[in-house]
Amino acid sequence: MKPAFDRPQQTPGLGVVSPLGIGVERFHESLSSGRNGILPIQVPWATGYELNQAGVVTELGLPAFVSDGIGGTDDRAHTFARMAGRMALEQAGLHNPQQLCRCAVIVGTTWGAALEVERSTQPRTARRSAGNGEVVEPHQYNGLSAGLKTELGLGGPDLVVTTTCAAGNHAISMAADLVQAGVADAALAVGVDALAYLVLLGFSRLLLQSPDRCRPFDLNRNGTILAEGAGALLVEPAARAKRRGAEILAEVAGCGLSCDAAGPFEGNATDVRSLHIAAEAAFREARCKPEDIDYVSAHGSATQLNDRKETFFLKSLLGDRAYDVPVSSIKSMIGHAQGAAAALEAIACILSLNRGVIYPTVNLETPDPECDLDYVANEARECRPDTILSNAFGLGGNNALVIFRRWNHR
Amino acid sequence: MSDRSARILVTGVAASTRCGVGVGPFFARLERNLSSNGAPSEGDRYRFPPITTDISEYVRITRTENELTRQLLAAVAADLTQTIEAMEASDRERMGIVIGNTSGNYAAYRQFYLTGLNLGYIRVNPAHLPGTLINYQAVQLSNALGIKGQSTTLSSGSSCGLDAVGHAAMRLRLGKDESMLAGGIQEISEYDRRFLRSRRLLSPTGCVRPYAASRDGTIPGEAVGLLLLSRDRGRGDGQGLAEVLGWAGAVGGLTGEPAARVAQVIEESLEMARLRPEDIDAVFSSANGTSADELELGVLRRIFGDRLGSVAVYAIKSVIGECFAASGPLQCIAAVHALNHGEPPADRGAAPSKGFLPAVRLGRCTRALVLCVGLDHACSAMVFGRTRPQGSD
Repeated sequence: MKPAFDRPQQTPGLGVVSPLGIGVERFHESLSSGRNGILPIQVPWATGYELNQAGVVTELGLPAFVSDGIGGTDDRAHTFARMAGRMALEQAGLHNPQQLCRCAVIVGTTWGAALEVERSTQPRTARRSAGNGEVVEPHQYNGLSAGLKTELGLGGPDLVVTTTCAAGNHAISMAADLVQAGVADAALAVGVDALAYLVLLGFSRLLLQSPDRCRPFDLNRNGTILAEGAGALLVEPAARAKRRGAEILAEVAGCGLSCDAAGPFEGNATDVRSLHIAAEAAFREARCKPEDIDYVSAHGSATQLNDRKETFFLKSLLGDRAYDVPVSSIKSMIGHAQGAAAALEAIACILSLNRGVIYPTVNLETPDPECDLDYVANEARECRPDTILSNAFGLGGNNALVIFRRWNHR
Repeated sequence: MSDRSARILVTGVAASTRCGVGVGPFFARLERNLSSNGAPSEGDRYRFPPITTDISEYVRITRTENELTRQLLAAVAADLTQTIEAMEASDRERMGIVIGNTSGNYAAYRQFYLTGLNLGYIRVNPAHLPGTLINYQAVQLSNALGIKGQSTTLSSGSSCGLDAVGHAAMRLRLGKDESMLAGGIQEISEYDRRFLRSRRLLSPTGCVRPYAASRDGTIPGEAVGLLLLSRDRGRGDGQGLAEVLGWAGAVGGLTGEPAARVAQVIEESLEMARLRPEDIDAVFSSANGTSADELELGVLRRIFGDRLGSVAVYAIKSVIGECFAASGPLQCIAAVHALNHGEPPADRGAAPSKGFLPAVRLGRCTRALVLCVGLDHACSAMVFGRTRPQGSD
């Protein structure tokens, strides 16, 4: 066990698989131009909606709900995670086994390998599996992280963390913990989920899925639109990255985690106590204050309650500055990618730090009097933030806040 | 912030096993097994017990009908209510929860999915969606207790319960939390049974006989095991039940073949504890009556050498079955009990065969090693010590 240390962690590698494209450059170009990544989809089963839409990863050449392995053995989520993870390692310049032998992988996901679960759940498959001679693999949520570890040649710990839609930020937090504790030399944080029938059905039945557009903070918002994808970030100490000559893209300055403890359907737009608990932890770790925040990447899921609550929280956190700090939600363009959402938003934050642009909240046409902050409506804005707060809230009340800072800001 | 000298104390334990709700019936059953020497049990008897503890208030808050959640709440109600209520309000509010779960709420997922598929979307009750999430139990525990720290579920294979405890200890050691409720939960799913059957790991006689020559497989068990860990702030406010001295596992760096990985987690946990193998009095192993027992025993022989004959090795799965995510935390609870009562409560569950370990009875247990080796070869280890005033030995 190496000695623990308190130095902040850096990110020298990013990987993106999203409805707006695969790879960081395509992601950046699409977000900058406010492109819409939501498409009508064919759903093999009824959901109660005449028109089903989602943010689907189309560049693989496979429609939604279809995995690329024979018989569904290579789950779609697994494919996304592997592609994003490889990109992050490549950008960070980590190639040989010596560099990877103490590299951990933490996967944040809401549903895990959901399509594989649904395939194995279908009665005919279950009957076949029960027969003699066929080896049934254990249905374990950590299949995603264990698979990535093997495929990417990582020798460190592998874990899956599931805090629903906050899981992407949670994975970043856990990756930073492992590196800070000296348990791993570097850690790959991956947020991932693929569209599955259960979540589409569940969100539709809960009326959380919009029948038309994802309009965060708009007066007429009527729900989110589900999406899929993966975002990967390599987290490691600056000194190690520098020794390798890797470009450091940002500092993971602080993370804060909390739970509303209010029940899944009992949220209150003005009860933001748990968000402040997470924020206090994140700011304490980042050794900065709310007045240092230059931009907020909102959870902004476009549900009535969430957007009001997040706005109320930001006003209480930032005080008089709340109206001067830009806030935006890229879910308006890519939809809500579940466990991947926060990881993709984290990558957007890091791109904002490096490219001098803040991505817009599109579809924002009618201002909501209760959501009256600067939401960077409809067009990207040139700006060079130094410190960014990224919010992620999950179904059930999980919150994960991460502060990203420009490298060598101080 | 990070402080390697910070002591991590076990300040409470909770369990629900086939023996009953609460740690009391668990310990009583382990002790009874000393004399009964592991009487065979039918597989279905490894299921959750009837809830006799009053959890009506928790159920009112959570409105849950999920049996695994109710068992979790019952375990906390039986064993931890007073300890948690005695905590300072701010500590209690910020307390975190980390639960290990191997396979999620498979039954709930399956029911929701098949209802939509077979009966149509209109027959699906949307309020059941949260119950399909693997993180459901952790969040319901937060709701019941009104605590607002992190509420997380980890999955890292069969050792994830012990990994959850290790992760909690790491957060405390880093100074990121002051107290954490950590452990594992497991209910028997059809899928787990199919997996065990297809690998011929299921005992046809319905009895778990770890290390015994007559062992013929294992039986899946349902259980909840939780440890309340706190960071000792040197205020002299209680010494706790035991001290976490070291840990390694999915949060400890794994490479190489299974035996090498098991050896690695033992060595890393001892290194963190600044102990040598000869400092360990007892090992709470994860032997479950399958061929995995030999792998684990081989590693123990390698680590302890000739001294293994004088180390007490206990396999509590003879009593509770293979509880996957819950096994590691329950082994920890048995170890904590042994540290406080001198004599570890469990025997091997069956007469050891020739060539296996001799029976060792301890007069005093000062340091215990808990070892998890899963059927999927996920492995973790944790070292506990008897609590004592800081600076003394």
